[in-house]
Amino acid sequence: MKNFFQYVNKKIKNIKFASKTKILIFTILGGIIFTSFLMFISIFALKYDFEVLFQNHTSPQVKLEEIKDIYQVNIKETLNALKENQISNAEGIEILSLANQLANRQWQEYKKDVSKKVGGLPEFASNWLNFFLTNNDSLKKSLFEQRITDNIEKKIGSIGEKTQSLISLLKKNQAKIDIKLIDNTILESNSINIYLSTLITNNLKRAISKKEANDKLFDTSSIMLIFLLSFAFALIILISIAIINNFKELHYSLEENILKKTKELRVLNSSLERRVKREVENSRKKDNIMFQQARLASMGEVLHNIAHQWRQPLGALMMIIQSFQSKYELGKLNEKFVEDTTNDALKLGQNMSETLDDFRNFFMPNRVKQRFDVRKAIQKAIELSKYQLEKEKISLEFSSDKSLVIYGFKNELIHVVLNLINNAKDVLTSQVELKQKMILVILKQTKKNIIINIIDNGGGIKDDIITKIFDPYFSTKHKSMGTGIGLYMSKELVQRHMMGKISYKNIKHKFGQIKFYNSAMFSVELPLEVMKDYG
Amino acid sequence: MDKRNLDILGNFNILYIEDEPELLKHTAAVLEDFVKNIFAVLTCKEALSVIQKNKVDIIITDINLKYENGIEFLKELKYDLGYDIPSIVATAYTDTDYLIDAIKLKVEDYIVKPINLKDLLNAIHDILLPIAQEKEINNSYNMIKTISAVTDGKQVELVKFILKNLDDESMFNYSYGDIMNHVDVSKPTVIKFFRQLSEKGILTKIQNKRYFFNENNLPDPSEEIDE
Ligand SMILES: Nc1ncnc2c1ncn2[C@@H]1O[C@H](COP(=O)(O)OP(=O)(O)OP(=O)(O)O)[C@@H](O)[C@H]1O
Ligand SMILES: [Mg+2]
Repeated sequence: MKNFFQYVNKKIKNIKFASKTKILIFTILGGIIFTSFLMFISIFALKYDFEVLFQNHTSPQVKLEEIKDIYQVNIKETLNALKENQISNAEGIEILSLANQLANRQWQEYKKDVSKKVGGLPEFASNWLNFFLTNNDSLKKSLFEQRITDNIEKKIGSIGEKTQSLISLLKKNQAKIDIKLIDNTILESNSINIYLSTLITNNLKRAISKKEANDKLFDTSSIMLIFLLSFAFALIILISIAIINNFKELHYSLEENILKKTKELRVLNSSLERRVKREVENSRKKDNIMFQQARLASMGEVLHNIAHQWRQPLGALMMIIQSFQSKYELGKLNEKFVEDTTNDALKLGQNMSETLDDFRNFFMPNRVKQRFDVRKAIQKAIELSKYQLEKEKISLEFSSDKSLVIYGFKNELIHVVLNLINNAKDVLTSQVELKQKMILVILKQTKKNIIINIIDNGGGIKDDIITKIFDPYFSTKHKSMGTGIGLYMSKELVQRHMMGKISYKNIKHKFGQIKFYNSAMFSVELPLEVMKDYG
Repeated sequence: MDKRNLDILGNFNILYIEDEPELLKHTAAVLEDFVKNIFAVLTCKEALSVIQKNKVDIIITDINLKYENGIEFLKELKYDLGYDIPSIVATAYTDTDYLIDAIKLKVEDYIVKPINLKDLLNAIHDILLPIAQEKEINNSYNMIKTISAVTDGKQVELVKFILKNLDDESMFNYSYGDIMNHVDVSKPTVIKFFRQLSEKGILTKIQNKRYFFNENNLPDPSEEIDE
């Protein structure tokens, strides 16, 4: 039994939750429908039995009792009275004919009552239930009953005839003569009374047996109902328990799940923190690499510049040396020439040495904050790109109000200005038909800011890429020409290291006297306070 | 060809265009020892005004000038203004673009920067030499004409005939009769002239009808001209 329960439990467990609920609902519904059906049937069957009992066995009894009375009281008494002449003939005739009529009528009614069917739904229910219970109708009229009924009818007939003939005698006043006939009739009515009593008893017996059947029916249907109800109830409880178990399990598994997930989340969180840290570090590294790249890139350009800046004094120096030889050979090497020319040579050498220093200072990797003159820094940037500008026949104009000493990263500012000048140079170089290629560098000071504007007449930047120019690796130039780091790095330097802003605008600007050009303008804005705060 | 006679440079004017002031100054200081006049300028504009005011025999220009291009300037000068002055370009590039331009323009020579002074002087010399020689030939010719105008014309005719008919070994293979058939002179004149040349060791008789012309025994004409 326990095993079976476990087995069922297991089976139920395996059923899906939704199916379980469905099964529960179906069981409840089925139980209700079935029980109500059975209850209705039982009620109707009971009603039928009651009707039958009343109609066939109770009310006809009354009639039989009446008939008995008619024969006992009216006919027998009247006959006896007639015999002893206690009543007149006329009275006797009247009573007898009336009694006969009454008896006949009552008998007919009895027969009708007995054979009357209840019909309708109750009979159908009863039949169905009987069939269902295999309870065949043992209450059919028995042969015995039939015979009694027949005898009674016969007796009624013969008594009727006898009383009729008696009545006709009475009419002739000869009744007293035929005492025999009267006695005979009295005898017959006695016997009919016996028959009637027997029939009544039989009917009562039948009623009793009917009641017994009825009891049986009631018992069976009750048992069936109880059984059915308990079955449905058990099933409902079983499924409900299963469902509740299911809920519990669901709850536990959910709780477990939540616990697990919470744990996982916690782990994830901590690993995320680590990851974020790592990523931040990575991006810093990447930035560093990028800056290095950019530095290398501009180092290339500046090296180019240096090379050219060295080439000129070098050429002159070489000529000076040769001039010494030449003058000597011609005997024209006098003191004045030696002095002047040596001075020139020294100046050239000094110049070369300074160029080298610039280069080294600019690319020295250490970032040291220092006091420096912004104007001079810009001039240095211009100096560093001078050769490229000359080569591309670009004229650069630098205007500034006054020298501004600030505290900060000098090399980084130079680098930013250099980047912007280089971009301007690149765009101007690509404009082959442009006759006058110009760059303006303007240094201004407002109450709070230092502003460096760098303007070129290269046409500006198309609207669709304006938002992207400060992105890393965004470049419209050929791979060998640009990596797209320039502006990104400039922005980083200005925003992070100088706490400033760098912005871009397409403008129309007047270069020279007359013409307005579509121009690109980059503005670097450095807050004076921050810069001074460091000092 | 190693040692050139740079003295011929002394008769010429040179225009030198270079945008780098130091280089310009020192190169000019050296060149001025060799040439008659050196015009040293920084820009093409100055160069043009020098050309218009002075006789310039040769132009030396840097290709890569500040905002300008030396070859463009030479082109303008030659095709637009009609000056045909020999020129040398100086460049820091061995850039083929510039070279092709230079060749098309028939530039006489080019030198690579940094400038090697000897190369520069040689280049100048090589360009100026034919001009100097042409000048000298012209001079000699004029000199002979002048001499023949004031001295005996027959003797000049004879010298011309002798020099014209020297073979590869500087031999003159004519008899007196052959000479008189070609040049309208009398025999005594021929004999007297040959004796004079023989005394100076200029024309020596090797055998009959065969004379050797000794160039080395000629007197230096420049000394006579300078005097
Ligand atoms: N003055 C300007 N005029 C027109 N377009 C510009 C100007 N400055 C920048 N740009 C545009 O912005 C793009 C990004 O500039 P950025 O300096 O970041 O990279 P880049 O110059 O292409 O390469 P890099 O600077 O790394 O050599 C350029 O490719 C160009 O299209
Ligand atoms: Mg750039």
